[in-house]
Amino acid sequence: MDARIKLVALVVSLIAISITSSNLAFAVYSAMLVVLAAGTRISLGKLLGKAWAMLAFLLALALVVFLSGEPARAIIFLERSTLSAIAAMLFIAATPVNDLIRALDWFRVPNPLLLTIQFLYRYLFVISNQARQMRFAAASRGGFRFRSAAGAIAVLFMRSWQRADGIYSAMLARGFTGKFLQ
Amino acid sequence: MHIPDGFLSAPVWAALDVAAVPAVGILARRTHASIDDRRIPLLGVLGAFVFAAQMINFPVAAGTSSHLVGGTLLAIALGPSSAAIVMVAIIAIQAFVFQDGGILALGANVFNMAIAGVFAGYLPYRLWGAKHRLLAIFAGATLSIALSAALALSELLISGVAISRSLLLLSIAIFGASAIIEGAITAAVVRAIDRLRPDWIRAPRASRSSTIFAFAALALLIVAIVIASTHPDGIENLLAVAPAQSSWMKKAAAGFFGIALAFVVCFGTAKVLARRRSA
Repeated sequence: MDARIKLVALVVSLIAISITSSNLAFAVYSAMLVVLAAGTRISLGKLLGKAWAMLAFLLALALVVFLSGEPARAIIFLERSTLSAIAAMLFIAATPVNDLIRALDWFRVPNPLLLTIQFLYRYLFVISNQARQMRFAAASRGGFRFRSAAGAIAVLFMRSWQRADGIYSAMLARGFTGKFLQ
Repeated sequence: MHIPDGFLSAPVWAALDVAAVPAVGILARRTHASIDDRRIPLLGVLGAFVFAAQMINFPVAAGTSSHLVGGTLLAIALGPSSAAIVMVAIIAIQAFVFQDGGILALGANVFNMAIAGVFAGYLPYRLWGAKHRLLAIFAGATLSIALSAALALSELLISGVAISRSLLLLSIAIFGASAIIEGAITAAVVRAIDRLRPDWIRAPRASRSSTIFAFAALALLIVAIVIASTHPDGIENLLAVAPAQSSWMKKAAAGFFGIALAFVVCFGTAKVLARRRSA
């Protein structure tokens, strides 16, 4: 399906969730999400398993409201936020990031921002791997101290900067004209 | 500190989304105007760097650890407008790909962290960076986190997320501590980069519009602190004046605040545009 339609559907359902406070409606939304997940052959269990840290955060935030003497409201917040998060998870599981970026381009998201998002996503895993290696190396020496962690980040920063220069040269060599979505 | 979907009330997230659209448009235009082509990959790659830097843990007191948030470091390295665009990209990817922060709440998170946070982080550097470099960077990064957190907290309070006085004080204490830690980390990282390559950082540039943006951010901090410190009494007093204390009134009050926020943003951007036209 077209990512633009999926994006609009996601936003519409998030808006519906955000203005709902009846438990019956939440039950209907949950059923719809389960059907949707079944239709796209995405395992909800797997998605939720991956997102346990985020769900724990939602639970903690709702717990704050609960402990502040508003238990009914806390439950509504928890229902809303969990359903919203599941809807967003289904969307991204069913939409390749490149399609999402193309949809955002169609919705007139400014070009400098889109280029930044594209480069960020492309190099996220490369630079994260670098950071992971540094962390591993530090752990085998007994872990980071405050100063050595700052030093590691400084090295990571300079390497990223140099990498960006190299990327630009490579782009020019391949005939880059200012936009790479086609 | 990324606000998830489901907690903000409709008037609050809607007002901030509407306000964020023109603000991001203007920041994108300023970014386009201020950087040369060579910098195009740099913005995204430094965004990826900020993501990756979160894997490197700084040991803080008593066995706890923290990590770099990075808005202020980016502002110093790239200038505030470009840094704000990079932060917007980070927040968008975190919301869409990693479900860290909501999608309807994008406007709120962009406003708190990418706009207010970055410009507040840049302000002390812009004012005192030439003379007291590290001190200004420390103050900027501290201010940046404190402002983002205060804004997020007040948006949640306005949305009707009840937080009891003791839990509110606790969260303010935690946010205050993380603000100071971000200041210390940012200053330590800048010092380490200075040693690696003394010529990397651009000197604070005299751009009036940035200063206006930064002062607008500071003004918002004061507003946010006032609201946070008077809540819940403040808003309830406000509502007690009204004849009917219904949830409709509460929504209207929240909507009013959202519009006021939007007005501040639009006023700031209009000022910037006027400056650019006349310059």
